[in-house]
Amino acid sequence: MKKDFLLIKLLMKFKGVFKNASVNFDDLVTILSLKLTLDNRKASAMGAGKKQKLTGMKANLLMQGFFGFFIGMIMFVPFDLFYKISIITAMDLFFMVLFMISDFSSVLLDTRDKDIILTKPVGLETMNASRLIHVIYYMISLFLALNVISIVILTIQFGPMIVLGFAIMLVLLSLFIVFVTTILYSILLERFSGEKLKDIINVFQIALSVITMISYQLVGRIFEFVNFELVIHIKWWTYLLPPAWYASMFKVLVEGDFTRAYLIMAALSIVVPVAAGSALIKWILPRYESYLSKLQIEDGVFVPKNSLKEKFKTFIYNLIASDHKERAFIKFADANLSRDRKLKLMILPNQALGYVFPLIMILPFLGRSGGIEGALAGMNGSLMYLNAYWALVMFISNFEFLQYSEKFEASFIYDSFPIEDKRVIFSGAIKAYYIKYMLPGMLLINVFFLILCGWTSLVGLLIIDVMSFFMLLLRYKMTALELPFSKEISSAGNKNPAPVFGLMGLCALIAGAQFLFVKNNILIGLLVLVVMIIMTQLAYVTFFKRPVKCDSN
Amino acid sequence: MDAVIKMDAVIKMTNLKMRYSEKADYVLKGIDLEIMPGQIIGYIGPNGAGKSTTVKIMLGMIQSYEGDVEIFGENIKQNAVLYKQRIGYVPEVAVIYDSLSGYEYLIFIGELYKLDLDLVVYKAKKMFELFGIKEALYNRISSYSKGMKQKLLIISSLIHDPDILFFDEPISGLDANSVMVFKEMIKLLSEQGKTIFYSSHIMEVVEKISDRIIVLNGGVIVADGNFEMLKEKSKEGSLQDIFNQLTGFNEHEVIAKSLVDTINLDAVHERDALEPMTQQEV
Repeated sequence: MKKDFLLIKLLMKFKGVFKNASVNFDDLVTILSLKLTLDNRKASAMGAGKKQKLTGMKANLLMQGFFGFFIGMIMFVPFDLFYKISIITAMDLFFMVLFMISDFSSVLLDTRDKDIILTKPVGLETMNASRLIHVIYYMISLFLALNVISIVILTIQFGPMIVLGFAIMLVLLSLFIVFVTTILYSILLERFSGEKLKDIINVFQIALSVITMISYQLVGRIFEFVNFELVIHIKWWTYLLPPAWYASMFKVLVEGDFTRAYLIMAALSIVVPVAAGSALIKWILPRYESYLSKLQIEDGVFVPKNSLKEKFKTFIYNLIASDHKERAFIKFADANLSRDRKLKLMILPNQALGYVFPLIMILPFLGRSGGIEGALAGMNGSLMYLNAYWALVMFISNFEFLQYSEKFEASFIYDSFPIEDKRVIFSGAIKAYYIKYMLPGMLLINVFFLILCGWTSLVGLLIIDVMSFFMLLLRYKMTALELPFSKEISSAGNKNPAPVFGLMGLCALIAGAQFLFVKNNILIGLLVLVVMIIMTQLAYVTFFKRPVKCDSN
Repeated sequence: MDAVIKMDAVIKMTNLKMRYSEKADYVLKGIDLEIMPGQIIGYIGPNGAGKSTTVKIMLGMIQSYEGDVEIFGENIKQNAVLYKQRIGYVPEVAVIYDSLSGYEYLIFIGELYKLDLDLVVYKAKKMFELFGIKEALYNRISSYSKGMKQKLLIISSLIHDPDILFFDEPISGLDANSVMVFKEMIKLLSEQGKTIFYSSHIMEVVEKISDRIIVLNGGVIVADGNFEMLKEKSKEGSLQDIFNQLTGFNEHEVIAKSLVDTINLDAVHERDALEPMTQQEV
């Protein structure tokens, strides 16, 4: 293992700090260089990774840097310093917490360390310290990537005190986030155990990544509506907002504004991280390992429910699959799609994007024609519902994720079981995916556009519905896919971009054709609908039922 | 037992109890145990008897136990770190940082034990060679077979020449020849006065290698002594039979028969005839 990591070199300078602490400095360095080596390995083993894991840390930083550039541009607007810093801190907080949850949970929730390191003569304090430093190191990189441009611009505007302010904020903010997230995890760990705990953490992660993905899409549009006239009103709840604390700190530090409210909040910016840190060290860290061990304990027995939902599912499966093998694979795919946490973490945020995309596309029209009501009236009878194709593209391109699984090695069963025609695995997976993810999505979007565009859109929407299944079949044939759940999840979001663009082009063509030739003409619409149903049926039979000489999959 | 009273015990447990949460039942219900240097302890018991929990407590991986555990005469709650310098551990499940190479992993372990790294490198090379996996030393552990990983774990548990060894199913995945080497090796180590704590489900091996056999069932020790003593007490032939008797299990033939009958079923309605029999398995 190499020890020439920047972090290690920096740490060497602070050797003296650890002299009297219960932390063993040599062990600390050994463990940290191991961790950094492991992080690097992940990246090189998988090629250019994306965000989500530490793997693509550089890619991640690049993306945050791009966002930082965007925030930096806002700094040119002549707001009060208080607002500028609030905006920056709010963004920082959001991205850093997200990063902690999605990328760093693997560090905070690693149970391997315990088995390997704690059985060696290494103190618990040393290991926890190495964990914290590991996390904080990445926090600092993230902070710099996000803020470097803002720092430059603000320094030009307000002078060099800004740099000092950011230096202080960097320390306080990253401590604040690390402590708060760790405390949050500990509360979860204390309350739940085993699989349930993992599920809850998963929900937590998914919710957060959904929020970011949506905000990525929305953030550019929000500023169109924002009213730039801002006056500072400090209310009682302002004191509860961490961004306001740090903004106040800048007011005091840079502008020398000693208003009482600013002083109080600036004090909070220091007191809260320190208090959280002491709470963490005093009460939580000593028990953290025993919390972690709860991840490995399973309590309670899983009893299969014979609920209405299950009965309904069985009914649907019997309806759509005549062959018992295919039915088995539908159930198999459905179970995997509902249980595999990493898979869910990949699919669900993108699924959410599918819901949001059509909305984003019609937003500009809402703003334009004078007031919401006028806009809604304008929508009625329009062909705006064709925006549902956006959702289609998102939903269908997610199908690709079906190849992946947390436990991809288990796919040996495809070979060890007597399956003559492996296409049945795919047809089962396609149906399960359609029922689980696309059908609810399409229903929701149908209802939405029916309300927005009125009954005239019904036939058009039905065409889109049939199209959704047809396109899913096309997607299956578009590029060679691995068998479902048989590929390792390397870095989340490793979607192949080519089919996505292909789908987009295709959808644009189809939507265009529908726009030009079908419109809201019921007769032509019904004709197209019938033709599409027949085409879909044909495609299905060709892909899955026609005998093949050599197995294509 | 009375002959060894004068010697100092390397491991001493007094009324050791453990449960994983306030509501849960005790996994260990009061273990009292003294282990002398140079013993090979066969630590056996059915699944869920508390074997791994005992080992994890001794390794400091679980701190929330009740009772006292002393290793090398020191209470491991008070002196939680230093005693680990003199123990080695092969876990049941091969947890390992497998994006490292075997070489890098051993260096890492060596650094945690604060060993001279030249010595670690020499030992690593030599032991890899002796175990017949020389060519794997610089490969990523993720590319290792099960047996190779197991050999690496064994090497990493011994690289600092410890005085107590905890082996949890150490030979799983090893080929027959390596098993022979391993058994001979631990015999030699115990002759040097090292204590070996060996838990396994393979009775034939435990019977052959152990100086002392401890049988754990339901969180309590149900038997303790050498193989001859256990045999005398329970009047059974092999350790397997003694084990079955001690753990109150004598229905293996009935259950096996039921299993085969179940396997041979052609349709569900035949099951009714079997129902009374399968009830016994609980």
